[in-house]
Amino acid sequence: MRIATAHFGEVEIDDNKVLFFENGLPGLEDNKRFALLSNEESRPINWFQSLDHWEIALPVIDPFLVCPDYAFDIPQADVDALEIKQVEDVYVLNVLVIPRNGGITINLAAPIVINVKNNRGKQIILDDKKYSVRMPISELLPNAAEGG
Amino acid sequence: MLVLTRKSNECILVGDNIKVTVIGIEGDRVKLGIEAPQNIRVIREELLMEIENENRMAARSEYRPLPRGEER
Repeated sequence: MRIATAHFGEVEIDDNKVLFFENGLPGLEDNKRFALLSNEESRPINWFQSLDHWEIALPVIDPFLVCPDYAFDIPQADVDALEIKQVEDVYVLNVLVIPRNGGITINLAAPIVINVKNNRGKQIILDDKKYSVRMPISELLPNAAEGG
Repeated sequence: MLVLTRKSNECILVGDNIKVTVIGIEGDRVKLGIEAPQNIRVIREELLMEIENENRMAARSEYRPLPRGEER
């Protein structure tokens, strides 16, 4: 299908690349279908583009790039809801906020979890004080450099 | 909305398998113990509100690559 996007103009999306979020995302509940978009310039940031409202797109990143020791348990209810059979099928992305002025932050408290076998996903909420909703990327990346 | 009064160490039961115990009261703080099955999500409301707010802010993000300074 051909879709309008927030940052990449008109884009052709394969039907098998459409990601389904039954409950939308917290705060953006009326967006249920998404696609991941990126290009050479944007990477490692991907844009989580709503297919229901073209102007809605959230920057997301592989959290392990910026926080190599990031770890959490997926609640059993979510494992069941997404029909996750094995951990290898799980793809994790975390939402960034890129303000016009000021540093980029990452939401480590609410990872987006996608089952790549059926393209179903959910943003899960970790009630773990270790992980902030608004962690500055600049505080994480020096550690990432040390770790790798 | 059901409104109940409970004292310290008293409980309320929600459905067949959720139990909320008032563990202690100190000034304006109430400490609760919540026993619920694993498939019931229990979170503080303000955490959900923060995440809703953060997602809406993310959707207003500026399109720009990671600045070099932050890509060290």
